[in-house]
Amino acid sequence: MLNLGTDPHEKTTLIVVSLILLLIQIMFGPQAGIFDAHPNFMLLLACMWGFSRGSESGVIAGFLSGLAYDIMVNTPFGLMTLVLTIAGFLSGLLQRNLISTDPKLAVLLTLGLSILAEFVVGIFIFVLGLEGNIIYALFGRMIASSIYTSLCAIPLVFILNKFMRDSQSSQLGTRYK
Amino acid sequence: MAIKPNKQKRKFRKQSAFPGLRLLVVFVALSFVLLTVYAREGETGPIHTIKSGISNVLVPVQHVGYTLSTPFRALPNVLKNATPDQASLTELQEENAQLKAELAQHEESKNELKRLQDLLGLQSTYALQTKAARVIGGSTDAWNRSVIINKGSQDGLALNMPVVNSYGLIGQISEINLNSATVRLITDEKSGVSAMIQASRAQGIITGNPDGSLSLNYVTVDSTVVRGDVVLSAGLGGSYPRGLPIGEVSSVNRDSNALYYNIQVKIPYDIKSVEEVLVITKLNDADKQPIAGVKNSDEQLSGETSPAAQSQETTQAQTERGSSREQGENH
Repeated sequence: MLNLGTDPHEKTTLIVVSLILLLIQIMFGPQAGIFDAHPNFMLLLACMWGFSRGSESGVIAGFLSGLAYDIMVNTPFGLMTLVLTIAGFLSGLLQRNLISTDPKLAVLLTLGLSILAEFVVGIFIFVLGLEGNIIYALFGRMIASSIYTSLCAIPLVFILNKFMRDSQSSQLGTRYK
Repeated sequence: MAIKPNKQKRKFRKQSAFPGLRLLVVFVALSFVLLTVYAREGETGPIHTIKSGISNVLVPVQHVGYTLSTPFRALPNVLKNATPDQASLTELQEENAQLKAELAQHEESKNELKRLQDLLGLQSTYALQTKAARVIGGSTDAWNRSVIINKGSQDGLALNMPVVNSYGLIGQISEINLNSATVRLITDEKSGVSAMIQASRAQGIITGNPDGSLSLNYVTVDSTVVRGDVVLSAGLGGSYPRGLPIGEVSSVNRDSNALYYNIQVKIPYDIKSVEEVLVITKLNDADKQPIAGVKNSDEQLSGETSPAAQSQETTQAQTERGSSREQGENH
């Protein structure tokens, strides 16, 4: 099961942000493309859970967000589910509570995981023959989409960082009362 | 006493160096199962059905997103048009005058053609049964060039139906839901349309390139192709009607000893910014020229009809075309 933590404030933040990311992906995902770069808000969702709640939660969030993404796109169903499940696991392995302790590292790791995810999808699509030019796929789509996704991660990580730090400090305050 | 070691084992497992590893293995296996089942099942399989059902629910939400983002999508065009230089204005005025003269000529030709058609009983090239639809979204991922339209199977649309806009052909339905459909644009790499040069009638295949441009392939070097030539759909294979404009030749190159030209085709509008489209729900029999031995993907669209019925059908199609145009305008 998803590890929601004990702090109700943090729990609410994670659930609300997840729903907002899902809504953004559905509503603005198709419209947010710049040339061939498309942001993947579902990857951000998987990473957010992994970074804040560990790899078990990252795997579950990655699987569910991948399923949601696969419903919205025309690529083979299950491909993004597979990739985001692995991305969620890796993000959870790196460090728990990364968003509240080191938000800059969280953004950099999101970029790395995004490149990895796009690369795996790209290779798979190339092998299936759905993409003809691997060089264009690599630089025109994968790298561009990864950078775009990471840029979208910046406000998300810093907003979450603020919420989580506020939540932790208020919790510490109540403990020492 | 015998239970103790088991308990210790369980405790040891919980302190694994990779928490969530077992869960990962299970979900990765499940993902592979989904991939395999989706690839092997047909359009009516359980995953396709569930996906289609959820897509139907998401259509209104996507529509809201599309409407909300309209001002942002128009921004590049506004910026581009806000600063026209004097040279562009002069060029546009000249082009306007030239187009007006051409229009008058075309009106005359059209009347003449109508008279000849009446005499010979030929069907009009564009007498097609169509359904007007509105674009409500684009491709979510970077790997497809497609748009989503707000009409689906309940409106009489089906897979592989050609889709046009006011200029000409834009694509083909690649995925169909109850109240929405995905149109694969002609600029998609997986798209292929039989096409011909209007002036020389040289035929080839239009395919999309990774960068979103179009190439006209397999045009033999013994045919005449010049920059600016209009490219039309050839209608071979029966998937698309014949004579629909696709674009203009932007460059023609010929490698030494090559059998075919390298032809680039330019679409004179931004295909991603198309807002209203017409889905061709039925092709004229005159438009269908199936290649011998090749089974058309949209064979179900054609029907054996007598010449009398055909004539009646054409009249009906023309009427419906008029009404669908009106629908499009009123949309």
